[in-house]
Amino acid sequence: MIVDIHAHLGRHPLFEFEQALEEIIRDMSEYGIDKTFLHPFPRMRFRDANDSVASAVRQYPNKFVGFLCVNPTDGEALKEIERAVKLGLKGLTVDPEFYASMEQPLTLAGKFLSPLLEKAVQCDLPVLICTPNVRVGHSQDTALQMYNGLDELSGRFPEVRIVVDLFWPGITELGQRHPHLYVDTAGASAGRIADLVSRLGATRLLFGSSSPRYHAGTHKQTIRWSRTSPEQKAMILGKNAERIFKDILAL
Amino acid sequence: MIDAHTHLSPVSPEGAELRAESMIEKMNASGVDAIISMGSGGDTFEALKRNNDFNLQSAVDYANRIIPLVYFDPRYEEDGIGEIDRCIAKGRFKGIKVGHQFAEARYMYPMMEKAQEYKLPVAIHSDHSVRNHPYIIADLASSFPKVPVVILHMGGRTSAAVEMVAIKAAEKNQNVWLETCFSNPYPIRIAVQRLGADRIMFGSDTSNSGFGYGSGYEREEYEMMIHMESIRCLRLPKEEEAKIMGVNAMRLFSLEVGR
Repeated sequence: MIVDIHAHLGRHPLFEFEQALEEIIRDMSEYGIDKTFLHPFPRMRFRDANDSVASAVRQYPNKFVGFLCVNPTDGEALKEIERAVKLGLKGLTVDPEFYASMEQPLTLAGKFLSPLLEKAVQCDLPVLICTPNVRVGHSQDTALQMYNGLDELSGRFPEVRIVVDLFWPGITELGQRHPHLYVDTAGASAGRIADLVSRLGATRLLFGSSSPRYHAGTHKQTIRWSRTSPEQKAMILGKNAERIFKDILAL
Repeated sequence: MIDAHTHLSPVSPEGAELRAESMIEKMNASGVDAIISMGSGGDTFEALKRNNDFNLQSAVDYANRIIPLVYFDPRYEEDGIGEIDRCIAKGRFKGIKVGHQFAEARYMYPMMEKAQEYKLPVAIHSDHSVRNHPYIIADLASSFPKVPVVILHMGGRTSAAVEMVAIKAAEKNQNVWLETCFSNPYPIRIAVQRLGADRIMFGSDTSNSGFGYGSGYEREEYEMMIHMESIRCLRLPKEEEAKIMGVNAMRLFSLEVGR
């Protein structure tokens, strides 16, 4: 089974990204992708975003697994997680960059994310943490804050399956320290994938497109053409997802 | 089909002697008729000159398949400007290439004057950094509206916001062109929607050294082919795709190419 663990539905409120359900389905069909984890773009009105994902999953239950998003600084965030889980959504997407641009500073190690992770433990939700879109050019302080924040959060919640992409500062070392941390390969070159396989092992890598930012078809091809063994490719493209997300894939 | 962004170097990073044949093999395997070769820079001015000469000789050996640009490095100041004159006097060079971290350098302006004098396009590396950001290149291009300026990578890959700035630069400056390698399908599609397909060119950044990004692929030609996929997956009308995959490069660099 080929599983894309990271595709966004709808329209990003800050950047110009937009992707309709029909486009995702067309790419899945054309490029041979069996299952896609659908994530909402971050929204202040996160209930609407979650409803859209839930609706798509209801419409195509064999194609999609839905993730939910909340504004971590909103007092209704925990209630919304419960509501969205009842709608059938199976994971939590956190986009620190979007909400950091709002009124209150948001860091991984700060006070806002821990309650969400506690709720993820209760509901047995995997958590995907988006790397900032403007991550490059950030100061060393920001990179260190990202590294330390994920290190602390991962250490505090060892039972939560946490997914971040491979541009996260110090991802190899963080992956070695935290066995429940998984790496979304979205946007990676073949060389970066091969390098991470050699340093972290293929069992920790997942095919994620982060579409529409990157493209599911070309990224699948990048993995297939990378200097990795057939077994490693198969793991990255789906077998790891089948193992790690067996429950939410209902296997 | 023309790959508008490649590199030829006479030596590998480890110091081994290189030839252009390996590039021709990749081109044949991936269906590329001709390449725009940016050549390569050098740690010294002498190395830069040697690399430009190698680029030229490769174009002599593979006429109509390798189209060379002069590699210009503004750190060499007047010598760098003189190197443009030296190379152009030899013929065959079809433009000027500027590499990493130099877009804001003082000697970019004399270089642009040379490009205007010789009626040559200029291709400049871009990325998210303040020294190579598309807004720096756009500023330069707006000062020389008669000189076609290619934003290599169109700000590419590392930050969505930077790719959008590259598109904006091309919207505002009719002499700005975009080359697509290491950008992504989504911003390329936005670029086609906003600019039309006439100033966008496919490129791959493939080198003959197998160094860098190329080293991660199972087969060497995949380095070119993965960037073709970034265009083909857009499902553009045939005519628009053909422009991006080669027709535009022929027009910009005044080429007659092919095997």
